[in-house]
Amino acid sequence: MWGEAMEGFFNISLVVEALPQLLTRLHITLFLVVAATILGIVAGIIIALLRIYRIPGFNQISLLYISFMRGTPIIVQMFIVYYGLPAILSSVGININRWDKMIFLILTYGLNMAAFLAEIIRAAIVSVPIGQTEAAYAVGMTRLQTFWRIIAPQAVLMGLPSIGINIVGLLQDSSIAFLLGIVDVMGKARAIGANTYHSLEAYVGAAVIFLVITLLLEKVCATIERRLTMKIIGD
Amino acid sequence: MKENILIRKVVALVSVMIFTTLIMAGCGSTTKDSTSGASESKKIIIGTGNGFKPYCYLDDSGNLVGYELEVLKEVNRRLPQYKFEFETLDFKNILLSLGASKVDIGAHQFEKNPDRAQKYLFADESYTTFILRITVAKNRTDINSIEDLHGKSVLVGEGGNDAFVLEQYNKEHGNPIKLVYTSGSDPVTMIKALEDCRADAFISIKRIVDGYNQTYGDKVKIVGQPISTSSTYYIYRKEDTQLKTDIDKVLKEMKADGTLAQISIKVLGGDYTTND
Amino acid sequence: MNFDVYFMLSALQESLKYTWVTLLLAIVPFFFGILFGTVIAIIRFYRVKVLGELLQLFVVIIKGTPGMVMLLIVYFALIQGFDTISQTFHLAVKSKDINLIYIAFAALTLTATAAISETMRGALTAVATGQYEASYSVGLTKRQTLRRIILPQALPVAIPVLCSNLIGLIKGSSLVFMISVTDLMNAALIPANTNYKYLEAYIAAALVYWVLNVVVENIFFWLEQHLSTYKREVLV
Repeated sequence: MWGEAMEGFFNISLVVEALPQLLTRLHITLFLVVAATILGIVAGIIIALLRIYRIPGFNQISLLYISFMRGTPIIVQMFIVYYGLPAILSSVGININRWDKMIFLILTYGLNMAAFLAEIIRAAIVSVPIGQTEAAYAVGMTRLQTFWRIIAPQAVLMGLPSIGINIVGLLQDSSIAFLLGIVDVMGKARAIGANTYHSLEAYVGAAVIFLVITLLLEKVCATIERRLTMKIIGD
Repeated sequence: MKENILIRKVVALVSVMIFTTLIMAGCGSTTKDSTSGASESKKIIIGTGNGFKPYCYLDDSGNLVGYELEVLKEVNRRLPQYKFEFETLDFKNILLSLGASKVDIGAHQFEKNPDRAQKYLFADESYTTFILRITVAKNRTDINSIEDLHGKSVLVGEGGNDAFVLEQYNKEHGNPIKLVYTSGSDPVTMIKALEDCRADAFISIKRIVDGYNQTYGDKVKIVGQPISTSSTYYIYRKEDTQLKTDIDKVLKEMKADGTLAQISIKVLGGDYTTND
Repeated sequence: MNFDVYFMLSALQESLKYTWVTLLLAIVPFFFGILFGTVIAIIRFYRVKVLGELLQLFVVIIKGTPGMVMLLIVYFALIQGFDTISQTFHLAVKSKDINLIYIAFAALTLTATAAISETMRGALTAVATGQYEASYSVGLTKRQTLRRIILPQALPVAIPVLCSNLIGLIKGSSLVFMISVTDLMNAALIPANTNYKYLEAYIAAALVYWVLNVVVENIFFWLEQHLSTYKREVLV
């Protein structure tokens, strides 16, 4: 009865047919995720440090930035980056209006991710007991050495699971890419849906791909976690 | 050791992907530059959709196809002073991109009304007739006209002309029809809703409904007379009157010599171009 | 570009009318997500045989599935399942009588459960292992340890991440428009169909989201402070 009622709506063989088509766009999704993550981590560390050292002025701006990025839908943030930023820059004579759309997309996702990562990174850095920093200074380490050798590995260990979840989220939530005409895996699923009306099968195909990547990513995270733990304990 | 290899593999894979994408992006931009440098014509960017079959959608290999593209290619052939380039965006982003000068013409079966004309410059010459019809489940016999929809619930898509037409009707007749808004991005849920009687009807055009029936098996049908026959237009920025005048003139010619009708028959399966 | 402030305000009014839908769509899955997610986290934390591994698979599958796809799958599965049952038992109730918001609840709860179970597992791990051993050594049972020692410490650790989870749910719930449930985002967009003033509509919706999320953040900040003082009292 189940199969009978679903007839016409869902055909498993079409999922298999959609998979190779979807895979042709995987490099776009991966490029977007990797580039946005790198931007997000770099900008996130900067914002986190601004907050930790309470640099006057910047601390308040960072707070407002984080609040806006966390509190509003990403599509609105995309409008600001894609339409607002060129308008502001053109008033000072720089024309970026017809830059590649991918750049705006990476900026949107990267800046959004930075806001989330900044809080994760800040929490992770703060969680390292102050005694360890003092001990590091006591044995003659410089401030930079202390940060890289003592604080950073532990902070990464603390923050890694949350960062992993953010990356997985970004992987799937690339709906905005297709709105701008960039065809990533999810965009390809939509395109197949619009062309053949078999959207369910294409979406399920995309989910299968995301599932495999999520599993891989989880493995990588677990591996880094284990190695860091060994390193910290080993030291 | 095993873990080491896994990480290395992933890093290698990712770097290869970044590298290829960069190369592809690089090649893409250089070819673009060389073509625009070679010709003297003015570059016009057309904003059209990527998910609206048969008007504008992507084929298996990801190329833009459909009625919008075919008509504008012919328009461009007759206006050598311009060079059209196509950009695929969703419905709302076409409008925003037009306002922000990211594109110069919007082509997504836009319908005119005074509110919309406030913000954008609409063409005078239409290029498609949009015939909206009531669509119901295959076994329904009680609905044959818009009056039969009184007290019934009708699914309407966001951004579509269907919502606008029924909203106007409701305004004039004291809200007799219950409108159920949906994203309309996925026909599967809409057809399922009709099949299960969760909603009584939706509004669509014949060619699209035929497509649904081919795909999902005969589940829905078109009933009664069209509830609205409207024309669709290209939209421009307020100041681009020259561009609009040029294209209007060509569209008129294409209607007179039958080219537009030919394209419509070829792509839409019938002549949907007669002027209102 | 001319910006129609008047229209933005009317879109704002529309979206305020539907804010309760968005709140409901976030809070109900959040509540059930905490309930189921904590149970899953505890089972996985204690590495219960078979069940632990099954739940891990469940969490990964849900995490890997985009919210929109989840919504479509749950929509079809629930409707189809319901009608099959009602047909088998000759019931008068059909799936069309179910308010679609319940289907949205079910789909969003699945997504929330997976995310929150990870949050809770992270918090459980953060409580130092020495504490478990200490509790056992003073003769507390596993259940007592969990309730009296571990959970009171894990909760404050989890609060900031739970806050992110809830904000994610508030913003993510707008996809229910796909199955024709209107939330605050789409309530703002619908009137824009008449005049194509989508920018104004989006900004109106964004303002409501922002205010909602700032309120949520403040509530969680207060909770965190409150629970932390409680924790200190217990430990002293």
